[in-house]
Amino acid sequence: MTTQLDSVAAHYAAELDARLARVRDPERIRLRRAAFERFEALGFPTTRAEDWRHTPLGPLPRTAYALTNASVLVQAGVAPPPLEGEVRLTLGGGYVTAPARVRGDLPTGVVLGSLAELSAAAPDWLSAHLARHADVRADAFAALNTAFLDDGAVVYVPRGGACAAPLHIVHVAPDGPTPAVSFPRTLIVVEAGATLDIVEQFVGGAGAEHCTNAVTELVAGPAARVRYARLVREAKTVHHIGALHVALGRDTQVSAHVVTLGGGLVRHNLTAVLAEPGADCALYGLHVSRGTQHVDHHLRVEHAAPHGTSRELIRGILDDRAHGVFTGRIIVRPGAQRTDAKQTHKSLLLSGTAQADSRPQLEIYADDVKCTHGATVGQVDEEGVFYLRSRGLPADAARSLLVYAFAEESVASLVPADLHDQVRAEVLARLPHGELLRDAP
Amino acid sequence: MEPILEIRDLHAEVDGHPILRGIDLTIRPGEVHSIMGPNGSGKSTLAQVLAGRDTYTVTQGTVRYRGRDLLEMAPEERACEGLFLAFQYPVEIPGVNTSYFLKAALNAVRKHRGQPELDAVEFLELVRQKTRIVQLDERLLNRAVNEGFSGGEKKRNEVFQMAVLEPHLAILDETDSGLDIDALRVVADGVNRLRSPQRSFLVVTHYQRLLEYIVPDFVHVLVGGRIVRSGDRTLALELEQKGYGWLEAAPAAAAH
Ligand SMILES: Nc1ncnc2c1ncn2[C@@H]1O[C@H](COP(=O)(O)OP(=O)(O)OP(=O)(O)O)[C@@H](O)[C@H]1O
Ligand SMILES: [Mg+2]
Repeated sequence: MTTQLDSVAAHYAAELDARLARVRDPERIRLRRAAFERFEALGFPTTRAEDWRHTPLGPLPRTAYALTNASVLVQAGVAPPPLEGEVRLTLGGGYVTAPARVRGDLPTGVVLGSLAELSAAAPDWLSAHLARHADVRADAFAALNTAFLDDGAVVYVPRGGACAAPLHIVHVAPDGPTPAVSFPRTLIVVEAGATLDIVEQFVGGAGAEHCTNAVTELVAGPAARVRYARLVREAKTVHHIGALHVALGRDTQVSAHVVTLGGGLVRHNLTAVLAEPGADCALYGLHVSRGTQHVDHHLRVEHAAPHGTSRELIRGILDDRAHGVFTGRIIVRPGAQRTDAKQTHKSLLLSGTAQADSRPQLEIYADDVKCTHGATVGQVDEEGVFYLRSRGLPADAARSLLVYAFAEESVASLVPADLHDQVRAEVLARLPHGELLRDAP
Repeated sequence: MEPILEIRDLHAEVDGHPILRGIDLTIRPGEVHSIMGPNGSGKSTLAQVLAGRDTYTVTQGTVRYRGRDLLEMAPEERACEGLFLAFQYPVEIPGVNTSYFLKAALNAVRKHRGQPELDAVEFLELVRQKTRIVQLDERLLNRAVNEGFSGGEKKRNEVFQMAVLEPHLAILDETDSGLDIDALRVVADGVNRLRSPQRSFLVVTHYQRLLEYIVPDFVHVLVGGRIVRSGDRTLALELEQKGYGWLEAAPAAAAH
């Protein structure tokens, strides 16, 4: 076992050496080497670690995955439909392949492009934020992702800028019979007073038990407003470990929707740091899981300054033998007075073998705060079903309507509207008699 | 005339506790029957059994509805065949838009009746007209079904749904409870406007007051799961004066 793990570490080490031989920037090399050292020191987490207690990684730590490179072919069939007015950037296996796959026109000053290309120009905002927010120190997956930081997506909206078009980043996982790992990386920097709507989707990955190890850093400056959506729609066999780290400034407003409709083993490490006063952060999560899907939402919201507001609303719909895990930690630092934090986690079990675990954790070191959390696990409300049936709705449709409504409440504020429509349609498609509800609001 | 509803020796229980213990009741087209009785006597149980709630088990007896075996029919089939229950405690359904729900229900019923489904415009027109009947605030239709509705709003919403679905037999379970006197008049007026020679009503109430507005043809008293007395509207007045105590020991009178 140990030797197997060692050989996997040696495999990554050799791959890293080969890649770093092509990198010229000494700063970048230092960053990546340091990250790899952290990964080696930490190792892949086991269920003995408190934060991974309910999420065994299965074969992932023992697998010497093939590493993706810039030649991953993006299969046309897996591309999600366009969103109205979008500007899209597509990455295959974590790489923006030449010619840069940007479609659409960007307003002046707004950047959407390849990390590798932009690194040459080295704008200040890039070095100021890249790998400064994700938890490379304690999160082995984030450390490994950072070590393999060859390319990625970068987004920049300058001070006071507005991007009317939604930006759409599509990460296509490799497919094919050989298990491969990719390290999608995204940096989104939104300067003071700027606004942005952005969608990040993860698709593809058919054919084998591929692994996606993704990290997104979203940095929003003072009074910036960002609406972010993250969708995982990869194949059922994909192990998806993804981190989203949101850093908020003074009076910044960020909402993030994380919607999981695919993947086999899915872990979301969602972190928000409200470092300056008056920040407002909302995290919404929805997963619709069946078969043996395992979806873990691991949230950490840190209030480090007064007058911050945070809302987390995570919902899971679980059928068959699906397993949902939720850990929600709210940390209120000393001095973060007038914090208003609220967290709810609800699971709807559609079968007797589905399972949900919920662990809210409050760490409060300030006295003038309002923090609440609640968790429920339940079945479809049979009284509600009877009420709907007593008005003429068929039993299956009544039940599906209630499940759909449960899901809908957690994506009510999802934008753009056409993405919301797509999510609705996909949720309905997974429910019996969903077609009866196709015009549901 | 062929009865619309014919209940014979109906027994029902919940979790092994007998609640209905031999109900006989016949309702003909156009008639309004009222059921009164003390708390816990089984009035809502009867209403829910008729609507098809499966938490109650029918252990004995028969129910024929418009010539068919009602107990064989699924709740949605009963609804499509024109049976309507206004719930004593209307259920809150978070996330389900009232207007959407009602349109889905109406179109399910219309489809069953071989009528074309209504499009959005026709539905809106119908809704406008029906909300006026019960003076229901149209804004409620854009909210989740009954969620956060006041007690009175929930009851109006039940009568509103009845007006939209136009049933053959409407069972109103304490639709008057929780209504102020003006709302009571509006709701009763809504019911009266639906009265017709073909449509029948079974009105469960504790209050003679409602029966001043919705004048019943028959009044039945349910005690301990049995109809112990039946009469005309004067029976309601008598109950108001004397309470139920004097009836409880009395033998069951032949139901209408
Ligand atoms: N699910 C249940 N489990 C156990 N007992 C029940 C259940 N539902 C109803 N009962 C009992 O059945 C009896 C009849 O209840 P029901 O609701 O029919 O009375 P009711 O006549 O409508 O009373 P009220 O006037 O208070 O509305 C009551 O004693 C009640 O406690
Ligand atoms: Mg009752």
